[in-house]
Amino acid sequence: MRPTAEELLASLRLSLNDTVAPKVEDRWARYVVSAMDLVLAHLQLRMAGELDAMDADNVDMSATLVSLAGLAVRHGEHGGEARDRWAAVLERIGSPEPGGPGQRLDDAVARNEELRGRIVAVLQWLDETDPGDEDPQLRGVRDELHRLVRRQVDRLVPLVEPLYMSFRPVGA
Amino acid sequence: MTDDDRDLDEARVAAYLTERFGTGPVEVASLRRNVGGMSRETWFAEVLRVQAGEQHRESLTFRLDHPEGSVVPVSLEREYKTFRALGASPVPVAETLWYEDDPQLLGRAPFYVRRTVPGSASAGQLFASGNEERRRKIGVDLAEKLAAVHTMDWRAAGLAEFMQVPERAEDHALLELEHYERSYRAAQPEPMPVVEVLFSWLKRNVPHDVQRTSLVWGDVGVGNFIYAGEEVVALTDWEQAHLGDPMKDWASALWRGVDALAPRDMLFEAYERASGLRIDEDRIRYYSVFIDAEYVGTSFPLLSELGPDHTRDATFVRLGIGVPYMCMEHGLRTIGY
Repeated sequence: MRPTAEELLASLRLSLNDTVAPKVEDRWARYVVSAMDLVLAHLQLRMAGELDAMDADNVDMSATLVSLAGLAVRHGEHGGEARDRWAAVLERIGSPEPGGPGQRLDDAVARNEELRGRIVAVLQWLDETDPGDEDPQLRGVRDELHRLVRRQVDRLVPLVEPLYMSFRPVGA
Repeated sequence: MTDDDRDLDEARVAAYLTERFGTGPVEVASLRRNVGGMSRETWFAEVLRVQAGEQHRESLTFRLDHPEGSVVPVSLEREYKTFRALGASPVPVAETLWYEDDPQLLGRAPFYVRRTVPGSASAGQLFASGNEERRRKIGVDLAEKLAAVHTMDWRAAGLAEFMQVPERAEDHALLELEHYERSYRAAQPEPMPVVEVLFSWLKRNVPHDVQRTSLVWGDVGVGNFIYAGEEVVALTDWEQAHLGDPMKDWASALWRGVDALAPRDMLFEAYERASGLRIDEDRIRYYSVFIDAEYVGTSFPLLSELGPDHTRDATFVRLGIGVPYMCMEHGLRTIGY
């Protein structure tokens, strides 16, 4: 159907900013109108970029988990205490499949939350197992996950940036 | 709840104040909601009342939770108690009048009333061209007022009666961190690896020493104090106050850009001179990440309040996305990623 969803959002923002906002006198109501406009701006970016961002994120998380699972298997082969420790990591990783681009946003989002849950489980396991950050092997795993998290944040920032709320003084 | 129920009603406010002042009819000349500061609602009332045959104009401030609750996981009563305890201290705050928990009074409860301190909290006025010298003086005065916060006798003021007292050095950070992490997890947000990274880093890098156990203001920034002329006349926004490490307030102050008032060195020098405490920049860096995690802990749970069966208005959507994602990015960068 035409117009596209993006074009409809642009129309809503136009009405809000050119017609509604100038007529709103109450300061609180003006603040709400401004928040509405920013949420619409976020929606425009999200509709254009969310599926790609989710797909890229899912591929990245899957690859990181597969790599971590490989590492856990190799370290676990040493037996004894190491075997138990790395088996615990494997349990939290589950069976990650190599990621590929999804067809639908809903599916990609659901997969993204599921994979993020696994990453969270491994991060929490690291805290339980090595709270003092003393084990060089685990420090390496933590560093790898932190780099993944940096890439994730970089993917999301362009979508959410319009909503950023600076606490610094206006006009400074 | 209708839109009318969400707002304060002038007639009910007038009736309440008439009963509370007990000196005759009170008329509400104006009642307006403050813009900015989203943790709770703040309403400013200008009222006229007669006492001893003379008409008085009073400026009052009403504080109350949003109908859906407070954004910060701290009770309104605790905020009121903090204001009241500081009333007799060297820390300048507004005078508190009444705390109420009866919803029949205004249609919403709890709420409390304090006198509005004359002056301005506006950043716009302060940063207008030509105000450079005034800004510097206010910045230095703010640093000195912060010294007063950090060196006050919090036991004598009664703050230990309702604030947790850190026993070990580590508790100066960990008690508050646990509080905000608990609030974050209680909302059952979507899994966020970056938030786990920040909470984890704060625990693994917790400071093992502290210069002093101080009252920590908790939210230091332009907009959170009242100035008049070239002086800071009242400190506001005490909802995140607690007992802890004074360097946390400097992290908050710099995070919120108070060094736009005056050069950082000038602020630090004034503070050290007035407090006898030493600025510790490594500690400030630690608490800068803490502030990020704290804001994530308060704002991100707002998103859990939107779902198939319930929603909140766009200001909370903006707060729930705009603040935490900004903090996640900032915090991650500060820890070196």
